[in-house]
This record gives sequence, structure tokens and C-alpha cells, in this order.
Amino acid sequence: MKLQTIQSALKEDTGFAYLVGRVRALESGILTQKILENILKTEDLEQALRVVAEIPYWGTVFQGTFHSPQSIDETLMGHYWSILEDFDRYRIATPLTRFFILNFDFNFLKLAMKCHLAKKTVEKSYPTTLDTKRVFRFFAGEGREFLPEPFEDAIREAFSAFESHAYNVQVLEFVLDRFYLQEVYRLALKYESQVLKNWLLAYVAFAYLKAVLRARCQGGKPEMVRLMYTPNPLVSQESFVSLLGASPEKVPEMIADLGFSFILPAESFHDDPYYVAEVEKQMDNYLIRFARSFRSQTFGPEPVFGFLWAKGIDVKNLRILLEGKYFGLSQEALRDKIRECYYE
Amino acid sequence: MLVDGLVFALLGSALAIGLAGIGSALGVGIAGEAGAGVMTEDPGKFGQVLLLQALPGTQGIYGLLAGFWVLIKLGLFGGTPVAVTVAQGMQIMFACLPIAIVGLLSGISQGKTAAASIGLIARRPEETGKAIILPAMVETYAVLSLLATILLLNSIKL
Repeated sequence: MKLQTIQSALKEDTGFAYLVGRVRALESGILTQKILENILKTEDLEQALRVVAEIPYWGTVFQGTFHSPQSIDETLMGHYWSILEDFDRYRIATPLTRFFILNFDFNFLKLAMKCHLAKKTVEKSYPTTLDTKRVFRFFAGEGREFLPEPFEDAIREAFSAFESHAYNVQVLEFVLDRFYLQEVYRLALKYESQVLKNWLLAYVAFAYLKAVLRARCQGGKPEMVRLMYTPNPLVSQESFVSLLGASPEKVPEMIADLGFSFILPAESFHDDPYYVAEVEKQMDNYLIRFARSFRSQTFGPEPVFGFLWAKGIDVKNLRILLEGKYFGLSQEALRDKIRECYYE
Repeated sequence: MLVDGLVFALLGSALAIGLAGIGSALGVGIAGEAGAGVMTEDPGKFGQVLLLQALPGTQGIYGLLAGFWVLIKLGLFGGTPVAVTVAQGMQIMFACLPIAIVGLLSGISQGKTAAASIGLIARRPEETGKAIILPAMVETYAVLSLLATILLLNSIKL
């Protein structure tokens, strides 16, 4: 009995020792506030890229790429994807990387479905674990073709909802978002680590609040936005629906009742894309602050998960800064948009 | 009677060598995994990683030392075994337990601390000195248990 306890404690604690070791080394390439300030101070994209090249593990990322927003975006996404793929090779890390990879896969599906409806093909390669040709064959209804769960059901349901909602393309996104969040929720329930479970639940709750606030700005029809809802303990269906139709004065109160008042910016609530962008920033900052506690864990999945999330935030920050430099945005405008870093 | 006492004494020696060795093997393994992770990204840290990985290996050496001490005391190396009663054999076996138990557990704990320290040097190579001190603290208790085992063995009159 005692030997079993020692064995399980060892396995649980040190199963991630190799990956945590890698993460500790790779963390020297995680952006800090100081690095972001250095990039902010640069005069143009050229100078900004030179600062980025000096960060450990970023040296060669932008080598030989065109200095255009599209190229920057592709390079950053490719860099992040290669890290995810690398970690995904280790069976022990698969449940962790699945959360990040799911996002890429569902985004690819959204793009592929839109291209299919427009009778086009996906022109550029998009990072995904799905095979583009098989996905398009599945769209075309080839009986022998199959896709892994939950993608088959998601595609069928998305096309069916698309037909029943007057061929509105937004419907596809709502249905796919539901399947994505369902999967994330399932992952959260599967995780043994309570902190990771809580983190994922916060992520799901934020995703719903984000969707509601965005739908309010875009004048999304409630019956369509409801398509993305899946039952979860943090945002009830009743709250989700009532937030969609509530008057702007009541929204902050309702969000506070859900326990998420900290995501609201200081300025008073208004249905405006800039306000929603600020809310999204607050959400990202909350999640990164939450993830910072993972850094001090010696073993277990938390440091690996924290690193992968931090890398995603770095990609987001670099995209804001580099594209901002390309378009000549002011330091202040960019500073307002960037997210907090994993390491202060 | 001679054989019975020797059995307990040899069991003590085997426990000291075996359990402390297992502790070291697990500890070195844990630290090695973390070290391999760091070196995958930064092979230049081999020297520091190796030093930290080797630290949990000492428990195995202490166990071996205690085990040999017993064998010498029993006169097994000289080819003329000393007559050992059951009581004396059990005394020897119990005297071996400090290094056997502490060696096992401290080896694992030191391995974990060494792995954490390897993480520390991966991010802050300038803190190598401090990173070595932390797992070395665990060593104290392995040394104390070896000392206890040796003192106990010496107090047994054959």
C-alpha cells in the first residue's frame, strides 16, 4: 500500500520532469514588460524586428519573411504552431496541447466551411491537425470519408443550422464555437489538476461573455447567438440569454452578479467594439495572472500549460506591436492594447 | 544458530545497499529527466546539469559503505565469518535501517530538489551556486543517517 503511494506520488510529480525542464529553458524566451517597452520605443518595424531577434529562441523566427502584416501573422502563427506540435509529440502532454490545438482546428474548420460555401479552396496552408483534402471531401458528402470526433458532428450540425437560419454564415461560427467550448469544458472536467480545471472553466466563462458582448455590438440575433451556448456551471443559459437582451445600464450589474465584475474596464459600459476589446484585454490579463501561479510549481502539468498559454499571449502581443509598427501607430495606442506578460 | 544470526545481519546489509541504491537511482533519474529537458533546448548547460544530477547519487554510495561495514564486521571478506547470534544479527539489521530508510527517501527528495534547481539554472544560470546549495541541504540527513548507522554498528559487540 505504502509502496503504491510512493509510486503514484512519484509518477504524478515527476512525469512532467523532462517537459518542465524544457519549459524552464524555453522560458528565457518569454517576453517581459521590459522587452515589450523596448519594442514600443522603436521607430519602425525594421527596428522592432531587430529587438525581437535578440530575444532568446526568437532569433531566426522572422528571418527571410516579408515585412507585411500578413507575413508577420503567418510567421507568428507558424512559430506558435511548431511549439505546440513539438510538445504534442509527448503523450503525457497531449491532454494539455489538445486545448491549444483545438482552437487552431476549429478556426481552420470555420475558414474551410466558408471557403466551401463560396466554392473556393483554402489557398494558404493553415496550422491544423485536420487534413484539408479529407475535410473538403467530407463537406462534399463522400460517404466513405470520416473525420475525428467532435468535428464530424460539429460540421453536420453547423451546415444544418446554416440551412435553417436563412443561410447566414455567422451561424456556422456559433455552432462551431459551441462544439469548441464543449470540448474545452470536457477537457476541464478530465484534468486532475484542480488549478488547471479552474483556469479552463474561467476561460469557457470568458468565451461566453465575450461572445455576448460582441453579439450586442454587432446586433446579432439572440436566437442565433444562443446556438453557441452549452450548459456550464459559471454562465447559466438564463444569464446568457438575458445578457443578450439587457439594456446597457443593466449589463455591468449582471456581469457582477455572475462574479466577473473585474473584467469590466473603469469606464462606463457601452455597446462598442473598443469597449469589448478592452474587456477582452482584461480577460487575457486575468488569465495570465492566474497562470503566473503555475510558474512556481516544480513538477506536474501546470508549468507546461502556463508556458504554452504565455507563448500564445506573446504571439498576440508581438502581432499587436509589429503590425502597429508597420502601420505607424503611436506608442501610447499600442501600449493600451498589449497584454500583461507571464513574467513581469 | 550461527546461520540464523548471519541471515539477519546480511539482510541488514542488503537493505542498506538496496534501499539507498533505489533512492539514488530514482533521484538521479528524476534530475536526469529534468536535465535532459533543459539540454534539449540549451546543450551548453551540460556541466551544471551533470553536477546537480550527480548529487542524489551519494545515498547509494552511503548505503554501499554501510553494507560493506557490516560485511567487514562479520569477517566475510577475510573468509572466516564471526559467530553471530540471532540477537546480534537483528541488532546489525536494525543498525542498518537508518541509512536504508533515509537513503531511499532522501534520494528521491534530493532528486526532486535537484530537478527544481536544474529548472532554476535553466532560467538563471548566474544562480548556479544557490541552485547547488538547495539539494545539498537534503544531503545532510543522508549523512546523519549514515553516521547513525556506523555508530550503531560500532556499538554492537560480536
